[in-house]
Amino acid sequence: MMPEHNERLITCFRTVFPDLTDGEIAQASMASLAKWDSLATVMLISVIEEEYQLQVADDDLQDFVSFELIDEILRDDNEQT
Amino acid sequence: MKLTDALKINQSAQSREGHDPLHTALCCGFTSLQLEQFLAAHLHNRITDRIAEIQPPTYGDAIGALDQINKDCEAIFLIVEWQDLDPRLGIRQADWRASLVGDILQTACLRLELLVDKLSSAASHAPVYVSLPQLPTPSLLPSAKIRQDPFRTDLECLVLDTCQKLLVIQGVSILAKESLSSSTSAYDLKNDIRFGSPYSIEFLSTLTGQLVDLAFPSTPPLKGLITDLDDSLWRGIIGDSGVDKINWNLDNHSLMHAVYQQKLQALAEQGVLLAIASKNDSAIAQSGLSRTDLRVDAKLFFPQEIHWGEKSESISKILKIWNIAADSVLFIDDSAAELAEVQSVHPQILTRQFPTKDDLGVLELVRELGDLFTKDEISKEDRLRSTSIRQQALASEELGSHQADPAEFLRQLNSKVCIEVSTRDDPRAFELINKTNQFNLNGNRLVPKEWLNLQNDESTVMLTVEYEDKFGKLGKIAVLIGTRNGSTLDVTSWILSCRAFSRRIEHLCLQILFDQLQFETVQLHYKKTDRNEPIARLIASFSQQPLSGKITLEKKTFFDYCPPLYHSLQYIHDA
Repeated sequence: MMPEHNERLITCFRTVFPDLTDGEIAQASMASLAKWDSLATVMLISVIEEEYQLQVADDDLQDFVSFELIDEILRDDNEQT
Repeated sequence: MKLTDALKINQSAQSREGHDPLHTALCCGFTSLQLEQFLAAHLHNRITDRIAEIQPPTYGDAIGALDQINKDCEAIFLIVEWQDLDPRLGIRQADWRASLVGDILQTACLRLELLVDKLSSAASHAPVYVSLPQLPTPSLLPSAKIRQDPFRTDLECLVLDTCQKLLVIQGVSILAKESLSSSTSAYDLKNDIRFGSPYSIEFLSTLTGQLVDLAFPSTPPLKGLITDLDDSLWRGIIGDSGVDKINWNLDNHSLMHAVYQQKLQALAEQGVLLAIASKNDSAIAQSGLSRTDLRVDAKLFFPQEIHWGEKSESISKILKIWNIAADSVLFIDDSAAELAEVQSVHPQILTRQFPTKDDLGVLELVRELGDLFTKDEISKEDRLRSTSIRQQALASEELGSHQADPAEFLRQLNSKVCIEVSTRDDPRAFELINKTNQFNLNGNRLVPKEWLNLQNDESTVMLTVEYEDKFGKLGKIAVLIGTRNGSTLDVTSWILSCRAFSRRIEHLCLQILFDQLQFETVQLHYKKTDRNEPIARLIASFSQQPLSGKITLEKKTFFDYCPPLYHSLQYIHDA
């Protein structure tokens, strides 16, 4: 079973990329997904900030390039709080 | 609305098929991705059978983007912020040296002049809905936060001056700044720095929602208000305490009843119909309505249903005399039980409980009345409506006494009809088409863009009809619109106000088409609606064809069946 944390992030990705399966979302990155351009990143950040009720730190923005890295950032953030 | 909700609404709207897309354009100077999503979502919520297609803005130039609007656009949304007047007023290119004050003001002035110029042109193609700067006015001068400084004053004056100029341009509507003032978090510094979008996500949702409300109002303004008397129009129970003990003043802590009365007076002057539904002894209630210190003219209430019968019966009688549907009416009473009784019989009627002894509640109610009844423009027909309904009631009584010979009644009316053939813009004609239900050829409504297109199409034929008789003026009461196709007129819209029924005005319209405009054939694009039985009856009187789709009426057939007409006609053809 997928951890709850992961499910929330998948929901965010599904909102921005509705055509992807959960499996594809888990593997998604800017490099592998043509639809994931800078505009999609802006949308993804806004959706994640809304879902998690947080503000993504400027230093973390450069790592918003794959599901895996975003997941890590959010886990770290969660552990710190 | 959350951004996630907006995205989901827009994704789900993509499954709407088989309808024309709703073409709109968004003009703003900043990154607009979230803005577009919210705008599309609010449009999809409001217009549930079309897919919103938004022409995206040209980044960095809100005003210049007005030049690049596609021709098929049906509505333009323009969002102007301070940085659009001069980039130095925004955070990204901020330059707050006091020595630049004059230069920035000059640039802002030129940009606003350009805005007026571009908007005049854009609004001739499609209606434009404008949001002028919503963020706090930037300051360049080192003044204390609480002191108004000359630079901000000059900047605000420039915008207000522009607002005045824009308000007189046909097709331009401006969002009231006050409507968004409760939004405390309009600015989002982080968003501005990271993405170049100065608004917070919450504010984007509110702003776009209100722009959509402005462009596509959810409900048309209500037409009539029915009020109770005791503890509503005035404080006290007149039957118990007597006429001298009811009150609406400071001394008795009942001033808000006076405010309510004044609001009713103001609404009546805008053409809103007023009536009374009260359980009372009629003579005693009349003594209250005769008091000279009442802040609303009691004669404006027509009809006055004052008796001991059920209020739902009173409402039925009032609706019949007004000849409007319950969903166009608001009923106000201090008793929740009375409101419930009325709603059980008239579920469509809007009701509000009068909050007696709750001053703030009354103030909120009075403000809400402004929203529920507000119209963009008040026509002379609006001002005539109440009077003409009384006259109609008199005429109906007289018609009842002429049942054996309605022709004699029509002859004695001394009716004068002015028919104008013109395609110039006529807001009253547009309003009639979009609100008339009973005598309505097909129930089709027009959006402003379609209305503009009709005016610009050389093959359009448009008739408007003004009417008066010995009972008084009814004003403009009928509109017929068609497309010329050789000797045939394809009639796509035809409405007649219910106040003007039984005057054979519909016959006169057809006679004008055949006689003055010399059409040989008229094709009526008929469609049955829930309420358009009156026009179906007219068509059936001329035609044996099944009542659906295009119904052809030949000149000869019309004159074979047309009853005698007694109108004195003034015909104006604006070639």
